[in-house]
Amino acid sequence: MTAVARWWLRDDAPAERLALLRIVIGAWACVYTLARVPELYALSQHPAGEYAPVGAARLFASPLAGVLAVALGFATAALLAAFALGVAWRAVAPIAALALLWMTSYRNSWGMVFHTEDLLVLHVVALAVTPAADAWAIGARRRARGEAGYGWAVRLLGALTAATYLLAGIAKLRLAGASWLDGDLLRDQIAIDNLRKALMGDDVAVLSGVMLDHAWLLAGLAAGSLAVELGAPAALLGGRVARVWVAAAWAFHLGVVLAMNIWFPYPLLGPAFLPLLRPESWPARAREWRRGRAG
Amino acid sequence: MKPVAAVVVSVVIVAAALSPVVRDPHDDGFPLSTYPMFATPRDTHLSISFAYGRASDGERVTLDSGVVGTGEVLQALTTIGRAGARGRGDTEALCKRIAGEVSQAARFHGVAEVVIATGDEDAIAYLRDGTRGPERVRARCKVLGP
Repeated sequence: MTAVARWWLRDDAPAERLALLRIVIGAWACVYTLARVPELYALSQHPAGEYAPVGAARLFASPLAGVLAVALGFATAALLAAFALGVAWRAVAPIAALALLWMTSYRNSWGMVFHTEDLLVLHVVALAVTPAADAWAIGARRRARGEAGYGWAVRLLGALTAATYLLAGIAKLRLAGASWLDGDLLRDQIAIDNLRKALMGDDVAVLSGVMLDHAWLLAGLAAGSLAVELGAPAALLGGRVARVWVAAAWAFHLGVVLAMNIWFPYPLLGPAFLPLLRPESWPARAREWRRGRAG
Repeated sequence: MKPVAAVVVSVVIVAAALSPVVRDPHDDGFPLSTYPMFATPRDTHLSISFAYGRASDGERVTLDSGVVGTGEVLQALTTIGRAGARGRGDTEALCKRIAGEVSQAARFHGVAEVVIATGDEDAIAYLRDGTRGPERVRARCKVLGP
């Protein structure tokens, strides 16, 4: 077995960490799907000519009737609730993952790809093929620990988080090259995106006007965003490196909100980064911290 | 799970996630994206089709993406742009659809007319001081009562 494979298979995560990721990511996907149900209906009322299927939605050459789209949306949410609870894991998890893939693909088939959904879908699909219901799952007896343990599964989710950022960084190098670093392209993106928002009644980002007048700030943000994206694989090393990267990536998303009013809730509220941290240890650490303060 | 199976599953999923790197960077997809959206150089002088309202006294009213049948600005603009590309008939049909939504939306009470227009905008000038470019009206339609 190679050194990389041995590193990948390090048994350094308890079943509870993977279970916590299943609960948080599954619950997020469930609520997200429920919130999209009215939009699924609204989209199905659009003329069929506007339907341009992407991904799994290519299974359907034409749009669904509104009632059917709503029914499938609710069914997907129910499956994802069972996914989060770990119910009948081996049967339910793959079906729930495929249902989410279909639902989001259908939503993305009307003229716009929502990149905010990519990582959520990848996480749910990956979780579905891991032993994520060996702990904290309803109706499941604690199963014998598999030979591979749980560390690889947590690392897989972290690798998917890192991969999406890395790809975004590589895209900047392929499409813009070194010119990305002078900040002009970022300025243009900020201007165009905010113009679109202003024309269609959405809020213009609070710092967009300030940024247009400060080239040095834009150059710094352009370099910083590229460093975060290309540096994402380093987060797989764990420990302090992972925590620093997560903080930098979170700050990057905050910057996107302030400059473009584009919200990526999955990373902004944390689930995207959980696989790179040790969330199951936080309650105990918080208790220790409180005891330390009291003592 | 056996270690070999865990490695195989991991390699397959990570390879799939990274596979966009070998595609044309403009060939976006879902959920395996090439992430071209912020990386592609764009001209800030652009022709863009959008919808707005007019009150009965002629005052211009900014509409929102909800009346185009989506919660997303980009999707709404794409819908309007595609209707324009398909021709006058589709643009007028979309205009009527938006007018129907406006008539049902309390937040747009008082809007008497919906206009679909194409503007030649300078995004930076617009954001700096609100300068608007010339507009061509593509379709107009009355907002009937709810």
